[in-house]
Amino acid sequence: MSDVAQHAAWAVLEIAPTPDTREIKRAYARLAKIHRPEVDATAFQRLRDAYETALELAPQLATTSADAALADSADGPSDAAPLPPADTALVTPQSDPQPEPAAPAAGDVISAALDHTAQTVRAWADELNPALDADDLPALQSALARCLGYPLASLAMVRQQFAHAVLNAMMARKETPLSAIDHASTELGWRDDLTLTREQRTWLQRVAQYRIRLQAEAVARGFAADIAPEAAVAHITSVLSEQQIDGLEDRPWFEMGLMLGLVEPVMAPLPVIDAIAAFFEWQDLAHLRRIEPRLVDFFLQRVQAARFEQNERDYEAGLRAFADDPSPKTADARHARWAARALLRQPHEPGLAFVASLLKPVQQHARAMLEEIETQHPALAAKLDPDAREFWRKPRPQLGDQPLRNLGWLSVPGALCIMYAISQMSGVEDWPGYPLTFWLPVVLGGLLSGVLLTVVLWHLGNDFVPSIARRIQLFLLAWTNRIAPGVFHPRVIDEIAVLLAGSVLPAVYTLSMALGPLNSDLTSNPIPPATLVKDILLLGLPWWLLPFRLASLVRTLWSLRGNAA
Amino acid sequence: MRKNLTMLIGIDLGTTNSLCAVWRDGAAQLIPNALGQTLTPSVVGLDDEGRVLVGLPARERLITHPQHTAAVFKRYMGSAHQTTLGTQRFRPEELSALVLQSLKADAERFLGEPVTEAVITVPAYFSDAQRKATRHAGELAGLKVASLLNEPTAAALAYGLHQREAESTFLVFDLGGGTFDVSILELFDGVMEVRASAGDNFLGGEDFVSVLIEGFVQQHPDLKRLLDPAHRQGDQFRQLVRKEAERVKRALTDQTSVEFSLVWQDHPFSWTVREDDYARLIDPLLVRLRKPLERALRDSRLKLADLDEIVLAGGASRMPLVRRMVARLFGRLPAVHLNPDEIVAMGAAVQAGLKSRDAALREVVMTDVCPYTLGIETSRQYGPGQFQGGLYLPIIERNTVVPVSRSETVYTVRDNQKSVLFKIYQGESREVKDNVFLGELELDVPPRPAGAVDIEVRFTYTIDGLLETECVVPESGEKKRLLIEKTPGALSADEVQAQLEKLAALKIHPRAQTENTFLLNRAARLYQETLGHERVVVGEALSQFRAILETQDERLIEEGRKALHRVLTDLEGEVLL
Repeated sequence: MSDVAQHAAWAVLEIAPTPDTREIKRAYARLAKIHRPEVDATAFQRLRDAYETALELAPQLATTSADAALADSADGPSDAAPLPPADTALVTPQSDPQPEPAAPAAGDVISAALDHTAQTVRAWADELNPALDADDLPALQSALARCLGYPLASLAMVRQQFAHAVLNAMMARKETPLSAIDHASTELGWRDDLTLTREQRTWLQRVAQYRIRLQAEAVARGFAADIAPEAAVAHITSVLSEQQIDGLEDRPWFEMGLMLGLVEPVMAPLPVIDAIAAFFEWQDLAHLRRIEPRLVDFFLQRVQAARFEQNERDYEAGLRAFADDPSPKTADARHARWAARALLRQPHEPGLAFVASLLKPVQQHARAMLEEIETQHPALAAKLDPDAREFWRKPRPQLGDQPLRNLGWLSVPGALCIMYAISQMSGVEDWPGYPLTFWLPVVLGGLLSGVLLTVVLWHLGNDFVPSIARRIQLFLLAWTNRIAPGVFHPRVIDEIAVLLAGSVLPAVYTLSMALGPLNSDLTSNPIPPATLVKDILLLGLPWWLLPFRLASLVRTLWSLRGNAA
Repeated sequence: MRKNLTMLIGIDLGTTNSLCAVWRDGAAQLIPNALGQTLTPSVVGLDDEGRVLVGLPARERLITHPQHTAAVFKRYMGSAHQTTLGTQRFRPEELSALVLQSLKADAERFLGEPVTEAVITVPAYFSDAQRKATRHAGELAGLKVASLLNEPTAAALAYGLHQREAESTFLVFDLGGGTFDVSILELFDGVMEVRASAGDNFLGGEDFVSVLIEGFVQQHPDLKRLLDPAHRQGDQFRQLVRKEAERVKRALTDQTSVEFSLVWQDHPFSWTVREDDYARLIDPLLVRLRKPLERALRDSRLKLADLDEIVLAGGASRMPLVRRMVARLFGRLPAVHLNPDEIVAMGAAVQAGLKSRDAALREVVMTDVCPYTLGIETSRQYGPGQFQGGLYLPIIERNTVVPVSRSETVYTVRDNQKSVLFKIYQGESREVKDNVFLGELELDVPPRPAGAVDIEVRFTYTIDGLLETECVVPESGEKKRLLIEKTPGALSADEVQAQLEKLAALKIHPRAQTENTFLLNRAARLYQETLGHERVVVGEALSQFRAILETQDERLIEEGRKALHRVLTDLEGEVLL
């Protein structure tokens, strides 16, 4: 929120910035009667936004002013009591639990008697202290029975005063065992006592909530062992209905107890936690966060950590299973499997890796997998062979998506050169009748030149060829878009690029044969037209592919008709 | 001054009963119907001459003429469901319009001037389509709907004015005939602010009745087949058993054991319902009360201790088991200062007063919330060229104070995308398939690479709960608006005209004869329900009264009416509303 918006909020409300929500509400109420929601929606909305902003800002202002006050009183003796921690159930209210009865007026017999009784019951209550200190339930039981056995305790009024005194004594203690509270509550009838003060009742309520929490914790701890998620939820439902934990205020305490019990000391299985979270709708935890934010965060952290660990295990197992899967369905899956296998191989074998790396998709898959493993699964990354990681990290020479086709393309010029050279040396005219001794070196030489060319192109820069193709594509895209926006699809552009690339080489060769600039013999002694046609048909084989490529282009166009990008 | 121009009334259009009230002389006053009662059952029927009957006279014919009578149609509001009465088919809003028409006639008679405008209450959790249908019903009845008011808010208005305390926070627990709503309100300095609303549109008194019927047929399995809607006599049986179940439900309010008994084809059937049986049967329903309460409390960011009072509204909240449940949930007893049947109508009248800027209410402002989240469908990219569609992008969060206008910016997902389709949904789920579809809007965008075009989507939710969507491309200035109308079951203008003509063609049963007709129908129903001597008595009284009606002597008829009423009341007690 910008400062401008903040200032605007106060301006709209027509008040100075204040931490007092009461004042903000008053201002809002006054203005809302002018800008009524049913009359002027826009003005009301402005007011409403300002109101909500102001209410959000108020607590911040309150802390700053409190800080200022604290700073002011820093040199003087500070009488501000430390705030009691609000997150434990058994904390005693800081206020004096028992207001001292007023001193009796002289001669006022009744009040003197009352005072005497009050003192007596307090003395009785003190008798319980040793048992409470020792956390000894039998001792407490007997002490309580003894006190209630005093003749004076048979009076209902005295008994009630005693009940209050014991309650106050317990409230004044730092820690009181739950069993002792339970016992005293049944003996002294606190539950049905309508004369309890607000503090006393709040304290008892907090005890009850603490108990619910403990119960829930115990329930959740039982889930550490193997248990079906449905059974866990069913168990919780039955506990809720048996213990009648259905007050809207009690339920959150139960939920918090569950939270703690589920992650401490042993983590419950994740499916159980998920089922419980779904049952209580824990996707929205605002209501619990209001009571104890630290517990909620702790729980979320633990669950997240567990989930992460689980993922880690799942990921590695999944990857290994995938690498061993003998029946990949598609070419892409086969490539991915090859990549996974090469990555996971222990130890790294450079030869096998090199062969695998010649396929571009394998390289891409391996690189992506490595990146994923290194960023998201460091545990698995540590298990991989460092050489393998090093090998796959950077792009390596490759033969594209379809290495055979590419190799074929690249081998053509070499093969043609060798063929030409052999024919010149041997002087044989009748091409189709050449023996195997002619074709073998031609093919092998062609392949070798193809590999060499690949390596040369690689060293020119791995992205050399793709970047040119990409540039042509972008250029065509830009122009076609300008001429006829949306007509040309990337697939069409691809077809055209392949068509152009495929026609360059045969065109060059055919032209050189026809014009013969490389052979001086040809100028003086031109090849007969019949031989030339035969040569073109045989050696200009790539030309034959052109009609297929053209057909493919038309097919692509046809399939895309009326389907703009 | 406005009072002279138009007369505004407040109407509680309920599932079981409807009421109307008016703000007059600084107070809300309930308006009695032709029978002198404030509650008019939401039942519509056609009599033997094809004239429309509304209220008690129609309800009496549910058993004798199930084919010509319709009830509980509010449950179908906003859907294309049609009810057949005799030879004609009616949509739920047409049936509601007939009820509204009858209430309007009552109000005009009571006030002595024509009524043209009304505030109609709807359950807070009613969807957009259901609200539209309600508004449409009002228009069909010839009423301009000044505003739709949420039922718990209405209850709170009535309660808050009654209270007139400087500052308080309270929760309205509104369990009506067919719907359950919870609203938490804060009252300070004359501002009545709804902090949160939640609800269940299919949970109400009628469900408790259904549970009793289930229990009854479990005791008598041979009657089970009659509950099948396809059964020839099923209609009549269902109405009969429903009426008895309703009686038993009410009787269980102050008795611990009630006899469920009915006569079917001259055979008596009975079942003794004890309170704990009933408690066991309705437990699943009570469990369902919990969720909306929790949600409202969570959304309001209030603690239970912050609530000063729990206000009960809706007839079904009278049930002791429900009250006990509320007491257990909240750890305290709910307030019952006002009649839960009437509180909503009173609130509607207060709102009518607010609307007409009544001087007595100038110092009161009421703000309401939008009870559910509204948003659009979006896609999220999770890889190059890979998208997950069907994700929900909330624009107005639930329980935002209305009127409200909020906007979000979204982007195109594909290169050279030509247009964007916005699908608008209502609901809380992350995936739109689990939310309610409201409408759609298509917007042309300039062709650019993916993500380069941003579009501002603005939702404006009015105080009446109507949603307007506006999408703007700042780059091209292309703009489109949509007032959600493409809801399922909505009608075209021609269809609306046809509906109006159809309703205008219906003859309404003359108001003056309502009481006679009611008694005749009631007697005919009792004749069918009773056996032996009682049946003879009813038959006798019935023919006597018919003979008296023939004389057309006002005085005689008046006496005959009293006599017949006495006979019938002796037999089965006062009629329950």
